[in-house]
Amino acid sequence: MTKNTILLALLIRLLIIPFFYHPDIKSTLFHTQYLQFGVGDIYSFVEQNKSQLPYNNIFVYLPFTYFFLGFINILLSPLYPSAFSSWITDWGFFQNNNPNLPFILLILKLPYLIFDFGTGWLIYRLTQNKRYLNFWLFNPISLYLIYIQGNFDIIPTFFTLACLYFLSVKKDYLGYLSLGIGIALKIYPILFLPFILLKYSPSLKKIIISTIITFIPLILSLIPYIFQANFYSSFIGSGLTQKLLENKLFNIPVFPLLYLIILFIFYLSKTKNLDRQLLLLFFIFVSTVNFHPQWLIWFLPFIIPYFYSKSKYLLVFVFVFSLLYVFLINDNFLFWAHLTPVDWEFTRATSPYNLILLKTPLHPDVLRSVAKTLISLFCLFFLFYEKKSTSNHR
Amino acid sequence: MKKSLLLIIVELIYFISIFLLLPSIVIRNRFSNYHLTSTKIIPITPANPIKFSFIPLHDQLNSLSFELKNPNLINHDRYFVQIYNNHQQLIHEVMFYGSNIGDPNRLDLKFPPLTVDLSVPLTVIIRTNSLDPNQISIFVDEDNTPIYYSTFRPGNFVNSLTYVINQQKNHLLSFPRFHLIIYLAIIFTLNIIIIKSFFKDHV
Repeated sequence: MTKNTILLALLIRLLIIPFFYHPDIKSTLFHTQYLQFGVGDIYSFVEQNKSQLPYNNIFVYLPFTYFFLGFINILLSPLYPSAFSSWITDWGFFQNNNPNLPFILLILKLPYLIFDFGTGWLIYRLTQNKRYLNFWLFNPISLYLIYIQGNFDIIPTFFTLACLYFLSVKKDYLGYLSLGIGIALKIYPILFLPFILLKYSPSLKKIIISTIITFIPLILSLIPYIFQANFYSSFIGSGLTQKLLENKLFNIPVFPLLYLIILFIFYLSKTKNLDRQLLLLFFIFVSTVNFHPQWLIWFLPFIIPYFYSKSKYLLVFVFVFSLLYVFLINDNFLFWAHLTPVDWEFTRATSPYNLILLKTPLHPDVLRSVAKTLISLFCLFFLFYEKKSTSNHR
Repeated sequence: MKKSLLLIIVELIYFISIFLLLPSIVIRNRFSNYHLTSTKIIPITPANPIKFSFIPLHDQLNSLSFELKNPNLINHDRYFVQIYNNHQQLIHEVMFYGSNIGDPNRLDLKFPPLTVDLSVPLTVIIRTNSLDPNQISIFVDEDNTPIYYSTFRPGNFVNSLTYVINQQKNHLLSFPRFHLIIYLAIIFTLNIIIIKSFFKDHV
């Protein structure tokens, strides 16, 4: 990692950070800011104060997320512009017409810089390959997912990758604890856990111990909320579980079924190629789940090596169509409205969804289905050509 | 030398694109007059048309938006929005159906840009002949002025760019000074360090 590479990567990020916005960063912060005012149980607080709060949506994340992001907010609060408190409480029509917004975003996304560069460092330590690091630092997909979408998914991604790093240097407990922190922040790393256990903890005893360690952060952070009805009603409403079970074939949820199949294949395989199985997991995820864009970052660090394979263009197409799929969602904040900090009237610009609806005989939902089909096709093509080139190589 | 020049050119293109070109091209309709407070909802009936006036802030008025409510989505009748100048001449009329209205939703009525006088008020009347007991209602304040906003079209690309340049000038001047200076200083320093090391590599 040369100094110049880091500085150029930092410059690119600092040029993007203040000028791109997604309201998720504000809604998450709206809840987590209450930690500095001494609120411990955010679920009950929101329920009890719903009528007085300027933003009365529920907090859909786990308790550890509240404390983690709330603590980061306390650390960042001295850096905010003076108009921060008026911005965070303003949910009215002109909420995005705020000259402080670029600089609030600059401060809010500073922690992402740390976890983003940390992820880059872990990729380098795990692979000892400079090309993979450069790919992480300069590819537009991760820049879009981390800094334009602006969600905190890069933090659990970092902890998941840290798990693999610790396991690779035989610090198993630290590794599983790290994965546990990722799970306590956002439940999704649990998808990776069975694969990691099969790869790194081959005996039943080790599997049990590793699983217990992994769940320590989650269980500890959940204990105070176990009998809280407000917590359950908030958390069950969150998107991931529903999205994973949404698409069904003969009334059977497709993603869980395929997930179990690839897990079983992994269990039977002698080589236990984790990279390949995580690539398969990514493929079934993008093909069968109606994903939010920021969720793509969960898989990106693990599939970087495949961007240097012979069939890399097919993988690029998977991402291109995945982004196209996202841009065709009927939500302007997934396209032009990202530029709200530059000019608040981008919120009213015609989105690609409406443009297609108004100017063409096509329906954008149909085009989304086409994009989804193409994603699945390119995933299959990739697997087919990868296998072919591997067998030719042999 | 080439690399450092390229870096500066790319950064300039980036800033010009996001601050000037994209807003000029993408945002076709600009926000103009508005009234956004409401305290009650009243039905629009043949006997009680909604009437309000405003002095347009910009020429080329091209849309009016209202907050309306069609309880249980029952009403499908015709409604008219009429725009009069100060001589009480009808300058534009837009029709919509009850079926265009949700329970509730914002209705954006778009029309070809109207040339309007910026010093005199326009009067807007929302009327209907509908005798359906399930009337469309509108969100209004105590004076029965509805929630509304209007937009205008700046015109061709040059007009739009001129408007954006003026807007961005004001936007930039309202940035918090301290944070702006710190940010620019960091960007400037990073550029200097990177360019210097380009030169070093070159030597």
